[in-house]
Amino acid sequence: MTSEISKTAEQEQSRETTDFGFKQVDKSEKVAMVADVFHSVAAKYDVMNDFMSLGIHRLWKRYTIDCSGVKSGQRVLDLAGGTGDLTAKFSRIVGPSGHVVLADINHSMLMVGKEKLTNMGIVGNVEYVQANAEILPFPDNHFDLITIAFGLRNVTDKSAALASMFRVLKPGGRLLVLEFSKPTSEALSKIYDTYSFHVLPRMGQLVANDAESYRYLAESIRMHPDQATLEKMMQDVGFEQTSYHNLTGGIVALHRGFKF
Amino acid sequence: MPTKQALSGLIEVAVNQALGLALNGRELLLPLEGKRFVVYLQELETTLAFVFSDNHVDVMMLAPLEQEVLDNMPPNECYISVSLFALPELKHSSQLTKLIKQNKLDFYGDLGIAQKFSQVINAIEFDFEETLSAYVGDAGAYTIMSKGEQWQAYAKKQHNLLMSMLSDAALEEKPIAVRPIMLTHFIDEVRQLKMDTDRLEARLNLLCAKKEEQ
Repeated sequence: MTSEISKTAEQEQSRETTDFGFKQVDKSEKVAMVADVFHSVAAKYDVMNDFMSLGIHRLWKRYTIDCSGVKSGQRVLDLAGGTGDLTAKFSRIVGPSGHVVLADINHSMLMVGKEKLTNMGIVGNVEYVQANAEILPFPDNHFDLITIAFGLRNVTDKSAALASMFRVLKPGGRLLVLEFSKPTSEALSKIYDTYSFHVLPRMGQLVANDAESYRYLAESIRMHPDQATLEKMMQDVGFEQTSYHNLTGGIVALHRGFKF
Repeated sequence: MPTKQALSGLIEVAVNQALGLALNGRELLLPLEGKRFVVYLQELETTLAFVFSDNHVDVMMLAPLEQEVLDNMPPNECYISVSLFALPELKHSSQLTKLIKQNKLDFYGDLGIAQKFSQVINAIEFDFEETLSAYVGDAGAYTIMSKGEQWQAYAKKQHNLLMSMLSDAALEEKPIAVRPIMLTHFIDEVRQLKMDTDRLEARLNLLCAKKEEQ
C-alpha cells in the first residue's frame, strides 16, 4: 500500500510541468530538451553570441568580472560557463594559487569551452565539471565567488539551483547572476520583441542552420523572472545585500547577492 | 551600454597588442606576473586595475576601493591615486618619488609594481617590419615600410608647407584683410544703394503714370 502511494506521488511529481520557452513540458523532460538546444548550438555558440548581440555580450561579461571583486588565490565557480569566456579571465586573475571550476550541465558546451581555453594556453588552475546547477557536486562553503552568466533561465528549478549555489558559497562569498531580463522602457521593449521573435530565429537559421533553438532562446528570455522577482528568489534562499544593475536598458541585468 | 567596460576593453586590447608586437613583450611581463596594479584617475573618478599574468594583461574597471581595503593591501598589489595631468610623468619611474613629494601621487602597497609597470611601458621595442613580414612576406613588408616612410616624409613636408602658409597668412595677410568694421560699412553702403534705387524706381513709375494720363 505504502509503495503504491509513493508510486502515485512519484507519477504526480513527474507530471509537474515547467516552461520550455512558451511551451509547458514535464519537468523531467526539460533538462533533455535544453540539452538538445545547446548540443545543437555549441559549435557556433561564440560566433552567434557576437553576431546576435553585436559584440555587446562581451561588455556585459566584462561588467560582471569588474563586479566580481575576485583576487589572486581565490576559488571561483563559473556555473553554466559554456564556452568559458568568464573562466578565461578568472583563471588569469586568481593565478596559479587560485582555482576556477568551469561547470556546465551540457557536455558539448563543456568540451567546446575546454578546447577553447586549452588553445588559449589556459591550463593548470581550471577544472571542468559536468554538473547540474540544482544539485552541485561540491562541498559546502567552498567558493569565494559563483557566477552564472546566461544560464539560470535554462535551469528547471531555479530556486533549487540558487539554494545549491548558496550552499557551496563560502561565508563572505558572492553570487553574480548575469541574465537577460525585462527592458525598462516600453519603446525598447517593442524593438527588442521584434528583434527577438523575427530577426533572431532568421539569424540562427542563416548562421547556425537552426532557427528553432534561437526561437527557444527568445521565448525562454520572456519566461525568465523579471529583475525584482529574481532578486526576491535570491533573498528567499538566504542571500543578503542583494541588488541588481540593469545593462543596456534592462535587456540584461546583473544580480548580486552575498552569503554571510 | 557599459561604456566604461568598452573603454577598459580598448585599453586591454591596446596594451596586449603592444606587448604582442614587441620583441621583448613576454620577457617584460615576467617580473610583474601575479601582480595587480590599481590606478585611480582623480579627475575621472575612475579606478583601473591591471592584472598581470605570464603573457597577458587584464584590465578591469573597479568600484572605488574603500580605505580598509587600501590599508590592508597585499604585498603583490599596488594602488596609486593620480591626476590625469601627472600621468605622462609616470612614464619615467624616477619621477614617482618626486610626484609623491609634490602630493601629486598617493600610493598604497608595493610601489615597486608601479615602477616596473612604468619600465615595461618604456621598454617595449617594436620591429614593425618583422611583424608585418609574418603576414605579407619579407618583400611585402619592405615595400609597405618604404612606402610608409615615403608617405611619412610627404606628410611631414605637407604639414610644414601648411604651417608655413598659415604663418604667412597670420603675419602678412592679416594686416590687409577685411576687418569687421569695414564689412559693416560695406553692408551699410549696399543698404543705402538699395534704398536709393527703390526710390528711383518709384519716381520713374510715377513719371510713367503721369505721361500716360497726358
